[in-house]
Amino acid sequence: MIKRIKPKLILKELKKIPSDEKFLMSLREGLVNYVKTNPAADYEIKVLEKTPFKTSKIRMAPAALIGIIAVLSGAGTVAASQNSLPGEALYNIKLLSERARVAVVLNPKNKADLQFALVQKRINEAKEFLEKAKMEQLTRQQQESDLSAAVDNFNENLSGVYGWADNLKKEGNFEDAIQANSDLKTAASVYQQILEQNLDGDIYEKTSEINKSMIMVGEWKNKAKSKIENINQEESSGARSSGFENSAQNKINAASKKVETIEKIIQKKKNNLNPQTQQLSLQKLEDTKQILENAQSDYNSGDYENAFEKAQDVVKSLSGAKAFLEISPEINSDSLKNFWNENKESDNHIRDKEGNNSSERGD
Amino acid sequence: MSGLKGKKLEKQFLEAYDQYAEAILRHAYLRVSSRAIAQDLTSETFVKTWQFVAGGGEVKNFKSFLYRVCNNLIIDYYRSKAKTNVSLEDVAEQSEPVQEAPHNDIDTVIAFESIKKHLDSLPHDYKQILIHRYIDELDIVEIKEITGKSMTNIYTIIHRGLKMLRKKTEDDQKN
Repeated sequence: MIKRIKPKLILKELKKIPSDEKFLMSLREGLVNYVKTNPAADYEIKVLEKTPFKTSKIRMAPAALIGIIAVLSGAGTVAASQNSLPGEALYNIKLLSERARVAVVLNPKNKADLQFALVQKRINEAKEFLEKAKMEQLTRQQQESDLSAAVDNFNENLSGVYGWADNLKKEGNFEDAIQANSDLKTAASVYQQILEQNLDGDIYEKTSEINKSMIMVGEWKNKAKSKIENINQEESSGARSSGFENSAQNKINAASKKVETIEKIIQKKKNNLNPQTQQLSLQKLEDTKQILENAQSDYNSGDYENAFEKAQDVVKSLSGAKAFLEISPEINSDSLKNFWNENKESDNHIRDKEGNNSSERGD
Repeated sequence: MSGLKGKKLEKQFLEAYDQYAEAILRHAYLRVSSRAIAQDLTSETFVKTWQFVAGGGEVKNFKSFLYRVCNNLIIDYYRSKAKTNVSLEDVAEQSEPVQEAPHNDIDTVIAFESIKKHLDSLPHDYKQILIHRYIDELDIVEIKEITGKSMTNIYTIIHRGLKMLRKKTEDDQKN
C-alpha cells in the first residue's frame, strides 16, 4: 500500500541538515577583521533598501563617485584608497583592505584566484607608479621606499598562489598545477622586469629593504620553474610505468585544448595586444601546432614515448604563453624579448627532440 | 574613521551574522548542492551586505536583505555557469549528496531522498520559494520582499510546487 506523502513535513526535515560550525566561526573572524578595515562612514546620503540590490551593479559602481562621496563626507577612506599608488597616504589602507578581503574568502580556489588578481593589480600599479615617478622626478631612494610595501604584498599574494598550485599537484591535477605555476612564474618575471628596467640597471643597494623583497620575487620565479619541471618528471614516470600509450593520447588531447584556448585568447584580446606580442604569440602558436601534429603522427606510428614528451612540452610552453597573454598584453618589446628568451630553454628542448626524431627516422 | 553610527552599524551587522549566517549557508547549500560553493556564496553575501551598509545604504530588515543578496549571487553563479556551457542539469548531476539528519522510519528515509531529488528538478523559482517557506521558515510577506513576486503568485507556486513534489514522490514509490 502506498503511504500518503506529506512533502511539507519532509521539506521541514531538511532544516536539520547539520551546520558547518567551523566554517561559520572562521567566516565570523574574517568578517570582524573585514569590518574593522573597511569601516562604515557616517554618510548623510542614504540609499533606500527598495533600490534593487544587484551585485554586478555594485561591483561596477563608479570609483570616482565613491571617491567624491567619501571626500564630501570626510570619511570612507577605504573607498577613496582604492585608486592610490605606492607612496601615497592611503596606499597602506588599500593593502590592508585587500588583506581583509582575502581573509574573508575561505574557498581555497577562490582565495588563490583573488590573490592572483591582486598580483596582477600590483603589476599594473607598478607601471603607473613608475610613470608617475618619472614625471615627478622622484629619486631612486624615494622610489624604492615607496615601492617597498607593494613588493612585500606582491610576495605575500604569490605565496598564496604557490600554496594553491602545490595543492593541485598533491591532488594529482597536473594540468592546472602547471598552469598555476606558469602564472606565478610569469607574474614574478614580469614584475621583476618592470621594476628592474624602469629603476635603471644596477638598482638595489644590497642593504636596502627592497633588495630582500626583490630577491624573494626572483625566488618565486625559480621555485615555480622547478615545480613545473618536477610535475613534468612525475607525470613522465607515471606515464612510463603504464607504457605511455594512454598518457600520450591524454596529453595530446590536453595540448590540443591548450592550443584552442590560446587561439581564443589571442582572438579576444587582439585589439588590446601590442602588435609585436600578437605577432610573436601567433608565431609561437603555429610552431607548437606543428609539434603537436608531429606528436600525433608519432602516436599513430606507435612511438608513444616521444608523442607523450612532445605533447607535454607543448602544454608547458602554451601554459607559459597563456599566463603571459593574460598578465601583461601591453608590455613593451624589450620585456617581451626577455620573456621569450627565458622560454627558449623549453623551445630548444622541443627542437632537440625534433632533430633526434628526424635522424632516427632517417630524414 | 567610523564614528558612533559606524560602530552601531558594525554591531548590528555582526548580530545579523550571528542570527542568520547558519540559515543563509543552509539556504545556499540547498540551492546549489555544493558545500564549497555554498560557503563561498555565504561569505560573499555578508561581504556585499557590509559593503552596501558601509557605503551608506540603509537596510531596514537584515533578514530579508541577506536572502535577497544571497539570491542575486545564486543567480549570478548559475549565469556564469551557463556561460561556461555547463547546464543546470550538469550541476544537479554533480551535486553532493545532502548530509541529512538521522531517521528511524524507513519510509520517511525513502521519501526524504526522493523529495531532495525532486526539489532539485523543480523550476528554479519553485525551488527557491519552497525552501524559503518550509526550510527557512519565512512568512509570505518576507518571501514577497525577497522575490518581488505577488502574494497570490507565491501561494500558487507553493501549492503547485507541493503538488508536483507529492506526485513525483508517489510515482517513485509506485516504481
